[in-house]
Amino acid sequence: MTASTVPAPSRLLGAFSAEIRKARTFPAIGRSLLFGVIALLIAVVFALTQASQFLAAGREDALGGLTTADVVILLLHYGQIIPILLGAWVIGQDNPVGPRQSAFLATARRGTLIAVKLVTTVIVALAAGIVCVAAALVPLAVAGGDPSGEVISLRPYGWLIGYWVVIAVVTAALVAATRSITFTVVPILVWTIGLSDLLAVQIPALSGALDQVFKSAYLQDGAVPSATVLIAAAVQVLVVVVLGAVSYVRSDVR
Amino acid sequence: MIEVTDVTKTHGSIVSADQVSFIAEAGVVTGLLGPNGAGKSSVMRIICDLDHADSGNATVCGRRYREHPIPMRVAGAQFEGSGAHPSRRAIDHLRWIARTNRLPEARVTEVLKLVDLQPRDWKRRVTEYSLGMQQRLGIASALLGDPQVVIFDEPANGLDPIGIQWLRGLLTGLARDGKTVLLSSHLMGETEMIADRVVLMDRSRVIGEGEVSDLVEEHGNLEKAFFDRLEHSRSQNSGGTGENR
Repeated sequence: MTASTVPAPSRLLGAFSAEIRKARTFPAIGRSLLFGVIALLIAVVFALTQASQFLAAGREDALGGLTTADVVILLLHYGQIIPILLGAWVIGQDNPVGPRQSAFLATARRGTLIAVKLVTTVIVALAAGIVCVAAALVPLAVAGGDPSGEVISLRPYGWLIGYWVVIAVVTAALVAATRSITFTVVPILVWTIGLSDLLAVQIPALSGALDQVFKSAYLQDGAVPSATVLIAAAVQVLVVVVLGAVSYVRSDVR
Repeated sequence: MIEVTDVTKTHGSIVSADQVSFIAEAGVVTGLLGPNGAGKSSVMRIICDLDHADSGNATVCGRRYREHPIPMRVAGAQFEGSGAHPSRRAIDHLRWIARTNRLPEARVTEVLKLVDLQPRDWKRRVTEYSLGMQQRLGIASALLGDPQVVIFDEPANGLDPIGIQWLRGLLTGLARDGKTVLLSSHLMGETEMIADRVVLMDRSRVIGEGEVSDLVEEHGNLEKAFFDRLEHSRSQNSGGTGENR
């Protein structure tokens, strides 16, 4: 088969397969996931042990009205640092000039390259979400469920995994636009884990911000947001992805 | 064949290529020769579609680099070192590149042997590589697709004398096999030994070109030929158009 006769789907498959291999062989991606899972496991086991002790001592009030399952979801909420880092790495591993040149020489059509990278981000974040949720739920399952006797619903975890995928894609697109992991990851974390909640209290319109939409879904037992809110969230994602893709395609290597 | 026609590129107020035109033929080693900042690397990046030219055209085998369905089978390029992320293993770097261009994995070990990297080093991370080893890895990735055109930006950087001698043999061998070889360098003596033809650049412009043998015959050596052209070009510019940087 000569170069000129290779069909486009085959080339796309080649680029996608290469990107998956690239993600698999980039140490920071594996390490981020491994350390994330370990940290989550330790935190969940600690929360579970504490909750059991409080309940055994008849101090339900010490749990502040939260069930252990609620605490697990909260821990996974802070665990969003994992997909944010993974999204940053999938694109950011090519940020230095040398790797960027190699990527553009190997897949010269940059539109194809950024599309393949974003799909890879979805797959990596989805896998990380499933692994981390499973890791967080295992201690609960081993303990025989929530010590307070609450039935654990899996719906919030579905929304949480969906959020992990979306926030990873947003991070990846922003890294493509800024070409900086630090100047992307730090502001996103400051927003999602700090400022967003503070400002949403002061400015109600911010409840339509992407992270708030998903957060209200997974923290409120998987309640489905309204179609309008979901469309607004999709528009936010689309704007960031288009910004990242245009910047990626049009910029010079340096 | 590489054909560069009236390529101009500016970064803000800095002109990195000013109406650059030249042709690099198949079966010939063409040297882009000039001091640091002459615009050699900029032109090479434009040929490989890494940078976008403001005007003009650069084609490889009749098409823009990115228009080739599998570009690495047509042209291979190496810029500044290995091009690999320092934390990745050398063999993994070549394997993902091979996949993008649907190249067989066996080709990876072939090129690693070709550039004389020892098997025990293949699985080492690139951060542990010396400058010369990184240069060899970069050359390996350029040769991965067994392309018709090879482009090397300062390939002798970081190579020891044995490596430089090996590089000479490699480049002249590629040209003998009918491939188009374009290399940039600021090392006059080295280029005189390797190149059949040179394009002389200064301040983002082509100030002369010709067969190395003709230039050496006319001026005594390539270095003298370059400085004669440089002096002539700069005296002309200072008399009228002014500097472009």
